[in-house]
Amino acid sequence: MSDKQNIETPVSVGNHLKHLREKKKISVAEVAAQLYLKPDVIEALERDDYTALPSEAYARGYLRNYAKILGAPADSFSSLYESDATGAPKITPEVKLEKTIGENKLVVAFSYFLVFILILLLFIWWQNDFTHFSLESKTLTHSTNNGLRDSDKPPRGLSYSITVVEHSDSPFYRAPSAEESPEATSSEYDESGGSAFITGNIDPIGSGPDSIKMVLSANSWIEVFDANNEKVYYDLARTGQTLTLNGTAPFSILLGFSQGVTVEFNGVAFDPAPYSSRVGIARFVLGE
Amino acid sequence: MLNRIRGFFSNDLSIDLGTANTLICIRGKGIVLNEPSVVAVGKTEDGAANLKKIRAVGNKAKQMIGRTPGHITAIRPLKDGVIADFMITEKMLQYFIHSVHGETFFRPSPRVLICVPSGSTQVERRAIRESAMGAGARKVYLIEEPMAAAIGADMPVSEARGSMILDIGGGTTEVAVISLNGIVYSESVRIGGDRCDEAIISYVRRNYGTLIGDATAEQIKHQIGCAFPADEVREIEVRGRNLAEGIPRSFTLNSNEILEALQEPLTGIVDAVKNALEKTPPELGSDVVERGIVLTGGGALLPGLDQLLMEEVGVSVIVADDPLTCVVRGGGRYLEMTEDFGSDVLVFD
Repeated sequence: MSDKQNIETPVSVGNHLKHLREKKKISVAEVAAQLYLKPDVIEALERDDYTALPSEAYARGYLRNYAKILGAPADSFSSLYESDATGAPKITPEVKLEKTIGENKLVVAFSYFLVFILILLLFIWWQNDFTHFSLESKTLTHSTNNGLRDSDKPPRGLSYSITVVEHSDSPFYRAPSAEESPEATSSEYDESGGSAFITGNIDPIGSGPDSIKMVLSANSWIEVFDANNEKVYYDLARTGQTLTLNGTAPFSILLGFSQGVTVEFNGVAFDPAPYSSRVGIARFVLGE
Repeated sequence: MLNRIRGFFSNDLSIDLGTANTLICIRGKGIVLNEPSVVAVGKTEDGAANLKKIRAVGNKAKQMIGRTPGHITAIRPLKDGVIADFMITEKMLQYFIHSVHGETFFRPSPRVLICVPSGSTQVERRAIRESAMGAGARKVYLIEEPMAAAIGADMPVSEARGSMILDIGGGTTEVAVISLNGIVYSESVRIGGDRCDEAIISYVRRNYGTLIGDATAEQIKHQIGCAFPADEVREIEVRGRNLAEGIPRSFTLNSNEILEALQEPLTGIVDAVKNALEKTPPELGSDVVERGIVLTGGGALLPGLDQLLMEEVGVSVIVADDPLTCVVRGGGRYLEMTEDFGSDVLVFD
């Protein structure tokens, strides 16, 4: 009991050990022999001079062993010896082992499902936005292949003229230039380009009570379907062309380049601009 | 790429995958898990372990050892410091890694530092590495147990002086002389806490004709075990099955009997230390004699072991602070101070 009281008084560890050793009448050499240490290590411990010792860990170990030999409570010495810097970290019971891994799996499955839905929505949105571009590209394909493909069909709209241009040996081409020399024909063709042949009015197409007039200031793909969903016009119209289409209203119309087309329905002007997308494609219904 | 993102949400772990206990230390947080390395699993129809039916891991599973019904088996997947059952070890690690990470959106993918016995073979190290990978680790580093124990015991490992460490674990005892962040000489003997338990079981069978279980033997060792004759003799009452009568009987054991029972494993440990000192280069040997041997691991808690070693070897022996957690703390400190120790400390196979 008296030992404990002594430890609690603010004396150094070394002093206290020395005091205990002298009380038990044990010499430094004896302690050193019991601990298998050099006497100067014991003296250094009693002087509280830890610089002579290898490291703090060794110092604490030596102190503990020394205290044990003297029959003093070793733990009180360890606590006296200030060594908070290298103290052992506390075992923190922050782990909850009770939780099952199954719950976790459910959360993971749900989050994967959410991600999948997000990707799906993104894909749908992208698809919607992209239809404009795909329509435009479709239009372009049509315009390049148009003449050749339709050459042997009965002429509708402008395709007739294009046929003439591309197949210079066809009778339609030859007819207007029969009296001229071949050189002159070719030079005229070179100078004026394709458009020279395709300007002007086309005879009214289709028959019905309602009529649409379209004047083109630029090339545009045009699709016109009548009330019975029958194709009235489905082709590329060239610059300078005027189309007159007859049929039964309502007409569902697609203009590939609405800025280049002036539309009149039964003699009344119609502005397709409000129906136009940013690339110029307009879809609307006339005569509803 | 995904691993990197997941790694961002994971901590670096230091794991002491011991035969008896597994400890996990998170970098900067300290020790967060200290559980026995035991897994209780269901059995398939042909009697093999069914990995899909894990009943319990850790403390709960340890309570089941020797008390399981026919459809459950409690397994200790590590033996002698190395993996004995690969799949069960993987499941156990997976469970422990999960539990220290708590609730996270991403599956944890930590960098893991695992301590391996210095005497383990390439195959055994590879098994540990792969099992940690299988448990979800992004990257696995291996460190030799004595090195980790020395760092954890706060020994001056980077000095050009020899320090000897003796780490007595559940399955193995490691002796090593360390200088300049490296192991100069190390010896690993497959004697540890488990061998002490076995020695107690066989002693009781031989002298009392009674059979006791592993758990009882361990309890005896913890309560009255000692390695050096002490002034006071402690006693414990034990129950076991009498082999002649076939009926459970109760009897009393005292600490001197256990000291006698433990002679064989203790001699093995003392011999290993003597052997190591014999093979240590003379310069380092003199350093060791001057400074003493540091004792870590669960075996260091056996009363009188330091005294026994001092008497037998003639070198000062000191017990490290909190010897059970030295290895994992050393791993954790290594993760925190990688630049101080350098990569020489790690094992590459």
